Amino acid sequence: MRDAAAERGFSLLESLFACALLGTALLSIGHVSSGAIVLMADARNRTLATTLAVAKLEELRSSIAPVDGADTVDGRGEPAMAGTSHRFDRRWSVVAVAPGAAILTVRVTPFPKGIASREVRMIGGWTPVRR
Amino acid sequence: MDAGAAMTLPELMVAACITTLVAGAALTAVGPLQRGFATQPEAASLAQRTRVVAAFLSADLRSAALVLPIRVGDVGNDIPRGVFYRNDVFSAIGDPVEALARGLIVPANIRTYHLKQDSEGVWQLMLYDGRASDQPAVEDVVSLRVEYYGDAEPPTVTLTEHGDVRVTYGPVPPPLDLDDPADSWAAGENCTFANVGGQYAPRLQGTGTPGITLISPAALADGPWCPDASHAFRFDADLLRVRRVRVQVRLQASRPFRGLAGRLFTNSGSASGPWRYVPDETITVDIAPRNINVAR
Repeated sequence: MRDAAAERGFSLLESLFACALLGTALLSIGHVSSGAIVLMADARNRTLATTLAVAKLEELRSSIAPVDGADTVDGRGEPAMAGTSHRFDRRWSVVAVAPGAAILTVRVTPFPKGIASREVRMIGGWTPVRR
Repeated sequence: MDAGAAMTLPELMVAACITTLVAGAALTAVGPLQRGFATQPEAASLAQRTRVVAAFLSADLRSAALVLPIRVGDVGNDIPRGVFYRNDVFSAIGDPVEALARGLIVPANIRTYHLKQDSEGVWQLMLYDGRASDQPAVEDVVSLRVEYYGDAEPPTVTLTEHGDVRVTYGPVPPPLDLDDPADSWAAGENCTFANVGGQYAPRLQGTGTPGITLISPAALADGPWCPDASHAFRFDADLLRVRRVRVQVRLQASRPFRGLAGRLFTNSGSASGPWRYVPDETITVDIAPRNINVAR
């Protein structure tokens, strides 16, 4: 004899709940996937930011008398033109610690900021060229 | 509602519509994601090769005592051909610059970077060791540009209280009354200083702008020559000014991820659409060689 309760189908509420669950799961997968792409872009930005920070640090190292400053450049280190979508803000400071010796600090921030992007900071020393 | 009844037809229709909408939305989102993912391995490869190039160039330039804008060594040496400047080649020399400038030694510690196209047409950044090894370092490097920044002031001489000669840069000239038989310069002279009426006079000219400035290509290939103009290994004395080297490198993705040549791509590829594009990447490496001032 067949059990009537066992033959009962899904109610609308149950179906809606199942659909919502499926939708949430699919969206989660999509979010993780797109997150991976964003992280890849952030990794590229960080590589460029690091290269730009090193370039500025080396420029200050070779300078006869480095001073504080800031600029905005593109990924190649060229001055960023108005409307450039991807740019890097660089700020550098020179702190004298002794006569003829200073600590150089360069900070580079990529724009636009991604979910994982952060400032790159590099520190180096400077001494004048011996004469 | 009867507990034993299944879904009614309207309920089934509503449920089917909702499921279709959810599945459709998911598929719509998955399509671009899949296309995006198709380029990610290549984008990651390009980023990694960019890091490798920066690491290679930084390490060799940082430890260089002299950087030449030519290829030097046993194979393909530019000097015998009379070539003293190329903007797409550089050689980082690790030997003491004072000894090189005085002709006491020839370079043995050489790292030359240049571009070469392999048999399949792929551009490679090559690393030559000055002997027989000329090997690819990184693939798909399509451009290498080198600029030299140096001291705008000519070198100057000072005499210590003990009579020793000191210079701001470059090789120390012999005493004014002493001729170095190893070179063709007169008594008291070398490649950076002349003996004018019993006084040291710099052969190099100031560039007018104080500080560290871009050295023009012409100034790096017009002499005066160190150790002298007849030496088999000779280089322009203006290279002794160099305080910083800027190398701009452009890398490209492999052929299936490149579109038509233009702003995004140096060389055309076979990408089926913009969603397959991985544009060329350009990085600029600035390095102040640490050993370039050792002889001062």
